[in-house]
Amino acid sequence: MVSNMNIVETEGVKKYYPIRGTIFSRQKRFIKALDGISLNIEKGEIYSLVGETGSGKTTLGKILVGLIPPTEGAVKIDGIDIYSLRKKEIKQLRKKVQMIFQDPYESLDPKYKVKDIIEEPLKFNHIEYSKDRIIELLDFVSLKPPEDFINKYPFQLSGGQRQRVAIARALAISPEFIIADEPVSMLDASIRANFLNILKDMNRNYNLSILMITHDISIASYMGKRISVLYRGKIVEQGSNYEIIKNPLHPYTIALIESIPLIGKRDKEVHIKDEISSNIPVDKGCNFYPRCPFAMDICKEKEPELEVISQNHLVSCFLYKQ
Amino acid sequence: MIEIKNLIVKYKAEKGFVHAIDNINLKIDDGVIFGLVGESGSGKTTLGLTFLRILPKNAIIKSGEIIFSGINILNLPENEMIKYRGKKISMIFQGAMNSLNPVINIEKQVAEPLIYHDNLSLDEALKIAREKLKMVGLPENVGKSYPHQLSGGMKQRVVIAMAIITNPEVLIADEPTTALDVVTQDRIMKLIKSLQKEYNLTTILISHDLPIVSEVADKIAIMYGGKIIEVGEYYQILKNAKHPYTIGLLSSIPEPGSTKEIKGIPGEPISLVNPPPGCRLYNRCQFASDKCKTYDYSPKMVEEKHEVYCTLYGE
Repeated sequence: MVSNMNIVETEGVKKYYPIRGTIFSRQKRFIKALDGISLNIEKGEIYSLVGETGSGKTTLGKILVGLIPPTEGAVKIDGIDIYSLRKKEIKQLRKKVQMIFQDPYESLDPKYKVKDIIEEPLKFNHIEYSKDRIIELLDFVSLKPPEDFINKYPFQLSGGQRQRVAIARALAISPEFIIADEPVSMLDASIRANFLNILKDMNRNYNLSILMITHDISIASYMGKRISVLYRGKIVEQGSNYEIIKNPLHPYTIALIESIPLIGKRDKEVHIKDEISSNIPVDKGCNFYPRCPFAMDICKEKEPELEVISQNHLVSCFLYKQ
Repeated sequence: MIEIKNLIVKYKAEKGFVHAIDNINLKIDDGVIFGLVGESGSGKTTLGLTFLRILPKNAIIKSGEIIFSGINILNLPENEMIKYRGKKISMIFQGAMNSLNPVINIEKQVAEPLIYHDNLSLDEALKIAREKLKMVGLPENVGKSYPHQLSGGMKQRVVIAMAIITNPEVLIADEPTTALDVVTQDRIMKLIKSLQKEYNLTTILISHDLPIVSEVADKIAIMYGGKIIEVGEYYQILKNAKHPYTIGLLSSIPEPGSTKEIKGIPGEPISLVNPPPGCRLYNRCQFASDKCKTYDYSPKMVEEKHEVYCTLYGE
């Protein structure tokens, strides 16, 4: 069998949640959390997914790790369609894929010691290990000296230390692919940088593929070789780090980059309209239409498709259609 | 002008006292945006709460004064204090946009402080509420809607309208953009800036996010471990930072499109339960020396208006 270049391949992944209407409405309506996501993540690559709250980025993370099935579409991890697997086979998959969650205060069991937390995935997967393995992992995530931490409970650790334990746990079974869902958003600025650098080291040292899910395009750019920008369940722009940051095309990406707070950048201008309401589903046309400063008539009527602009750059916008 | 003198606030905890604010001195000029930057546990929110004297029960104001228009508000009797709290000094609390009452419409909630403080009738108060909602950039029909119908950014605007409805002289904004999207964050900061400009509103902007503060603040104070460690004009802090912690913060911000490796500050934030004497950054600082162990936080003026609390610049 030919070995796969990609650790992740998704094709048209959709996740719809039905909205309960009134008893008089016959028509079923849906919240389209994800609406046709296609992307691939190469082995050994850090891939960044940027999107605001409600864009569907966490939903995609959960689908990739096998936690919630998509409504439609295929998800392949290392060439295997994970939602056609039986329970036993899914367990095999779990050895390859691990997830780091946003909130280190909720993702660690308060009754477990650090040692038990890190051992759990090893025991669950019947992998043999020695105590040295735990020490080595703690050392790698800079919980030094490891002996001081091994018998501590989560409540004895700071947020940053907890998140390091979460990384050590994810690394314990030597996965091939890690999904990091906003791993630094709860951490203080002074420890955030070290944490991101640990993720980069993991990628370098273990050839580990990482999906970096974030709302912060600066972090996406710092981490990812490639970036996808998600807006209301759709990828609006996808490409190499360079193309997305230096040559953004979609009005939403442009606004995201314009609004990055930078040291001493005063009086910047951001070209985007305010959100009118939290959740008006757009029935037809482009999702971004209500906020787009460049909106045209066609945007109200038709949905743009993600199309190739250049070798490393795709965009979903009528401005770039002949 | 607001002057904070020798302020010490402690929390009683199981294992002793949490030294949340440990001898702070600050001067805040009228009409400026004063940025107060620090990470969680640095004491910045406690400082905001001390202003309004709404500290939790286990807090003790050990010593110090907060002088506002010539009066030490920490000494005021409670029946005098209510003329300041929410009236002359308003506060936007962290996460306030999620504590709007879900069953009362927006304009009634915004009008409430007027009914309470100025004894206005509901109709009079509603009229002003509608004006203020317009002032913070909300469309007219928002007044009749309910919180669940609004986006996060709109709710935050509502909270701001509520805070300024009594025409306060000082606005304390505690993390006003946390949990908002970057695009919306930018909008809210612009609104705060425009309120300051238009109404000469003294604003104390409390945030963990130095880049966001750096965009609007006139002056910036950096807090660490219950202490002010550096204070100056915004450009002095950004271009000529002196304290190792400030320098570390500035170098931990990724710049999009740049491949430069960002560096944080090693170690973990200090616990404020019975901290040892000397500099609070001692364990995390690459320049730490024996002098730092006994450092008494005497300030050093490194240039006009720019103060640093660090032994590197002489004692």
